[in-house]
Amino acid sequence: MYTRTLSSFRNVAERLASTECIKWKPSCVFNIDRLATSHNAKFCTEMKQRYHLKLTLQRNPLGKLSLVGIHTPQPALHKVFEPHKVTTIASIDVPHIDSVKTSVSEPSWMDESLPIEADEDLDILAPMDNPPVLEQFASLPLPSHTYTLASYVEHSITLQKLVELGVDLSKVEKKEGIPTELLKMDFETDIQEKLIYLNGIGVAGEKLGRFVTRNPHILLEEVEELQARVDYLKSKKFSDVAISQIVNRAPYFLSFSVLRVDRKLGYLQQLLDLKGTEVREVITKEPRLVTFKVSKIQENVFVLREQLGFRKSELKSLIIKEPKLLLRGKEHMVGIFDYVHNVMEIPHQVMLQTPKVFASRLHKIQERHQFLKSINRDNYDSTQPQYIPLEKLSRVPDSIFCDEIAKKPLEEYNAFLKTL
Amino acid sequence: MVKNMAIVSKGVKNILRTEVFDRLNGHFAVYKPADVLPGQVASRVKHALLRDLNELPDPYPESVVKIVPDEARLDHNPNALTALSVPSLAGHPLVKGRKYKSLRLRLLSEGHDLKSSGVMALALQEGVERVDFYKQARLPSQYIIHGRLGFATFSHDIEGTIVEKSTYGHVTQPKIEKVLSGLLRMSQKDIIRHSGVNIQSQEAYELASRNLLQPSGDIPCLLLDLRCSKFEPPDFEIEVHCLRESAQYLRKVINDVGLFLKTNAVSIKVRKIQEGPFSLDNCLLRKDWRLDPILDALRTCNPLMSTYKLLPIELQKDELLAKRLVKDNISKDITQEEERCFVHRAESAPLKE
Repeated sequence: MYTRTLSSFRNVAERLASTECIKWKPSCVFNIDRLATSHNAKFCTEMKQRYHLKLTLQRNPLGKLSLVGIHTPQPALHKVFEPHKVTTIASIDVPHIDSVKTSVSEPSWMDESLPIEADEDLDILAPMDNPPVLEQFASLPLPSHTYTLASYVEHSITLQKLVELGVDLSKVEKKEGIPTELLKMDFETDIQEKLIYLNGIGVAGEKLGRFVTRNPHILLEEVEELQARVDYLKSKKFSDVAISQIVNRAPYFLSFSVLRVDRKLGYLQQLLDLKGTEVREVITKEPRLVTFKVSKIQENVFVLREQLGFRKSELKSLIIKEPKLLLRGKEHMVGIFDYVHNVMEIPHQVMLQTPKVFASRLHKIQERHQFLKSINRDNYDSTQPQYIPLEKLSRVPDSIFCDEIAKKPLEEYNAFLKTL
Repeated sequence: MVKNMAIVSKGVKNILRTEVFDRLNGHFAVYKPADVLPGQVASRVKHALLRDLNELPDPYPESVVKIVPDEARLDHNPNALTALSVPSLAGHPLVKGRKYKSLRLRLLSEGHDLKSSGVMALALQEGVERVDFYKQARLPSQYIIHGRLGFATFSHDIEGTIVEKSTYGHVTQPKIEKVLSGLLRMSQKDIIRHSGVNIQSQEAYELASRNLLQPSGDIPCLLLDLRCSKFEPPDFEIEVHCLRESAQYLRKVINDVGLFLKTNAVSIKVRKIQEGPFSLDNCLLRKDWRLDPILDALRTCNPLMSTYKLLPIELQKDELLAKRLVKDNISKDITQEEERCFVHRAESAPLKE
């Protein structure tokens, strides 16, 4: 096709564009002698933007230079959705997730081989029966790397069943290696048998969800291993009730191998000079003694014996009554002892009878002692009348303390607290 | 609906937790216990609030819109789509985690350190934006300092290493009061010096005659009033009114009092009893650092921090402005725009006779 003037060139391009003919290869040639140089650049950009015609100079067979317009179609819409770069904690091979179904069957207008052209007559806001939904938004591809399990929870039945159970995925996903492992597992083949076994031991209902949240590694253990560890406890004459208590209070207990548990129990027995029944009593009350580091227990024994001055026999009776003492922070214990022994002048014997005093908060003991001192009722000697037992000092709420122990109105106590 | 009504403790659980969260704005005061860092107090209050907020029930869980084939219209249009709103699994609290993870809570009061106790003001959420406005008001604080005669320590504190010991039998209450009035006189010179006017000028006289000679700008610690409220040797108590103070400075004042009395003194306790509009009556004890008491405290304390009360003293004397501001404050809190207009107008208006 040949034209002579710029305006006729433009007319031809317009006509061709309006016919909605996608594949056309015009060769509109223009005699270069007639081109005014000042219109050149403007004309070129206009042709490119409006009609997608790329203009080039060619020498025709006659030897004359001519301006040729070649139709360059608009490139296909590139991906709008680009995943952000974040630290990944779970990665999957996308084809493994078979439960992903495309909810919409692909109609012909979603064929990606055809380029999508900007149609100037199309009104995007008008209601349509078949809206041109981009494939990316109809069924989003799963991200291959993610920083939260929430990205996969809609598609993974395993995760959905765990959420139904009460497992807190937001806490579980923070543990190293767990999210990837969980996604690789299938609920029915891998996880179900372990949950059934735990239910049999005594971790039932709500406790199961809480258990798995605290110790998700249990799902990576074999049932035979768990069975062996429970059998070991039974061989050491722990009752079924005791075993269920242990497992519930220390979710990581069952992740310890038989050898480690045996060593720990032996060490505790030797350290505190305990008999078999006493070991059982102590471990049932505080099974975390097995899961905590030995150095912590050693440190606390040192504090109780050397710093606070309890004798070995006293220490034993203290631990049997309150095994949690071996796990408390040493600054806290020293602080409470310092105040109770040196300021309140309570001897070791009284503290032995109420080891719970170490479980209370220091500021509570301080406030209440100072209040009792201000009303001259700070009498902790059991031989004298109107004495105040140590366990009642800190372990009761304010209202009961004021009514029964101090026998003063609560407002007076509050007013006193504001003078400290 | 519930916006202008007071929240009763029982009723908090029935109100949407988003509404409760929106109501957590403003200022309140806590009673800071001794031996806790001020920052620790703020973080404990913040964590208690977040815990209580997350425990409130959430009746409207997150939902998500899904585009699915429309079964009703599938017969005559195989590609028909419809939009459905379904509960979102990714937005479930067991998957997403707690809803409320952070709160803006800042210290409003300066001057507290590890060992001091007493009223400590905090700013919550939107209240944080008014911290500067509050500080330019330069509202004075009141302290009661418990001191002991007879020895001086390195840190001017009873727990420090003793540096000096002396007798104190010669000390009487009138002598203490004499020393305090001397300190007050020295402080008065400082106040005048920091007021920004030349003391020899007519302007200074006019301001002073109307009691408007106030310190302004960047000021050091200034003592406005000192009084000996109790004297039972070796212990004594001093009541201090001050501006821009720090607890260590006040301990040093006690040390200086001891030196002026030709003996030594240390401070046992530095206790703040008033911080601007916040006093012992409206501050919260440690057991009350929870959602319900804090909401009540916000309700009582927010009006105390109204614009009128935080204006510089010069502007408070303008009766017309005061009336306008008080009238506005009763119906609703002034927006920031209006505040700026008032302050600008008042500042540009000449001093009225």
